[in-house]
Amino acid sequence: MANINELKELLLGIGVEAEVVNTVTPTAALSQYNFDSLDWPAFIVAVETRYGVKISDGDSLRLKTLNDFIQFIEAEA
Amino acid sequence: MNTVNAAEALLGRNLERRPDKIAYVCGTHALTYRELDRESRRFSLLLHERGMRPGERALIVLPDTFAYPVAFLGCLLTGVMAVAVGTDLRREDFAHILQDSDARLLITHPDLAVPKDAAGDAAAVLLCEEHGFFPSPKTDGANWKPHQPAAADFAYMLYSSGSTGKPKGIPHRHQDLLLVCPLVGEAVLALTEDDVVFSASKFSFAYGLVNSLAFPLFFGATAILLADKPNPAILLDIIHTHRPTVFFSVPTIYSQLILACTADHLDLPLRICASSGEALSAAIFTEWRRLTGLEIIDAIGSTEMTYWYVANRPGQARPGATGQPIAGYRLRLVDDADNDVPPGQEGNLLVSGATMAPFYWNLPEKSAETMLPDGFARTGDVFVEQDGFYYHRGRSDDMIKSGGQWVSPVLVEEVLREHPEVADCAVAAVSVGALIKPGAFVVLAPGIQPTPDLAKRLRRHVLARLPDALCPARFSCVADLPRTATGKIQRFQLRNRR
Repeated sequence: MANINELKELLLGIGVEAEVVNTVTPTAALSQYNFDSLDWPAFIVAVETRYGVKISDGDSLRLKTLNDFIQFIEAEA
Repeated sequence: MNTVNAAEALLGRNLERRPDKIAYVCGTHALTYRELDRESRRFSLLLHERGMRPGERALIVLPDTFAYPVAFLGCLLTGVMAVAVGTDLRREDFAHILQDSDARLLITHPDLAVPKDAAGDAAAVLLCEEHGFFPSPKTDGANWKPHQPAAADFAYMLYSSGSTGKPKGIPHRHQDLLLVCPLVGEAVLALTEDDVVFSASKFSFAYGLVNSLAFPLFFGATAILLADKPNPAILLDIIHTHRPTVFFSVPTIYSQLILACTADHLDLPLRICASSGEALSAAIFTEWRRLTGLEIIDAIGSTEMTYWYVANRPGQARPGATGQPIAGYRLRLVDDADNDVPPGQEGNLLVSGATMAPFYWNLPEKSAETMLPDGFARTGDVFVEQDGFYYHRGRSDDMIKSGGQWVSPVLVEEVLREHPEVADCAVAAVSVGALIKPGAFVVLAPGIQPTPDLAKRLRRHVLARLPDALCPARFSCVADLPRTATGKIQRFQLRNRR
């Protein structure tokens, strides 16, 4: 099952700086951390690859926090 | 035969009717129509003093502050062709544009080192000052008159990324900037002087130039300018502070605004949300409407055609459809032999209209390929028409439109191949998070294994060398690439492959 630390590892993996990742909380919108138009699709791809899930266009617009991603991955499992 | 000077027409009508109305807002500063007229004339005098003559070119590389409309309109008033490009181009692109346009003058901002460096001794430099004004001219301009252009004279030129990665110049005449206002601003968007317009797309793009210059000045509206790169927090702050009625943006920005909103509802003072510059997915349209109660008016246009030629209509927008043809433009959907295809069948879109650029600057072969003798231009876009609505189905070439910018796969591939872990690669359009993005398909160098950090390294490599919009959203490792018998990469086979 996905957990916060694994998702934070994925954020580090797409190049988000460690000091930013350390401040991310499970319920805060990732966009608050200055995620830009590059980080977001890269994170979607990283989650799809790591957990073998397909995030649809509609879902991708409703997954805003790390908790949203965890719940989605659990529901898809 | 003479024609109207677009700058004179746009400034004159407001000077007569509403001189003290605010034309532009930028941060906490405002510029009235009277001030805009005065500064544009002073800029024209400056150009005269710098020895610039009608027909010559000046390259404008400025952030979106008051300096942009002042310099652009000042060039047109002088008969100098305004060559407008973005601030984040590579040094070699600035050098190419300066050389290709033969610009004698670079108009830029003191903080922008790259264009100045690219200009070297090839062009004189004119720097704007704080709050977007320019040094005072030495003369009082008592005998100054606006240039009266011939109908065939060019007013301005924008550069758009070509398939080889080299920007190509697209020149336009004075009338093009004026004609789109009734054709689109009035007939499609019903703009009036009561509107406050805010465009997330910058002046240096055809979309932004019409949004922030032609429309507000033609209708006597007010435009809000944002000098910085847009992000959701800044955009929402501006929208809530200045209360625009019309917001022009691109799907990438709408997606970012949706993702930034954790509440169930987003209350905005807008009457129109417009989208162009890249394909708008039905998912973004639907989610935006759920959050804000507002529809997104999707449209497609091009730098070649000045602005839009297909658009949805307010109150009748269809999710997933780019829209209906705009009166004044003729459309054809044709097969590869240029035969018309019936409704419901995919075809290559050809468009014709009075605002079309006559050719690409210094590119006769590319011009002949695109601008056809019968007055139609090839758009490179594939559409299906059903019930009068046009649905975008992709590109007939390998170009990718992402974040409102053209991405040449060739350029990204060249940069990726410089990386020591990459033996070969191809870049094609992929769909990620309701947006179209460049995706890289990478054949690793011998002995290199894919590791979790590989994408990060490749991403940093690209970002250090190219503008952000060109960076692939996905890096997929593949054993080989699809090629033709002659070895050419078949990028279309990679589109949307995972």
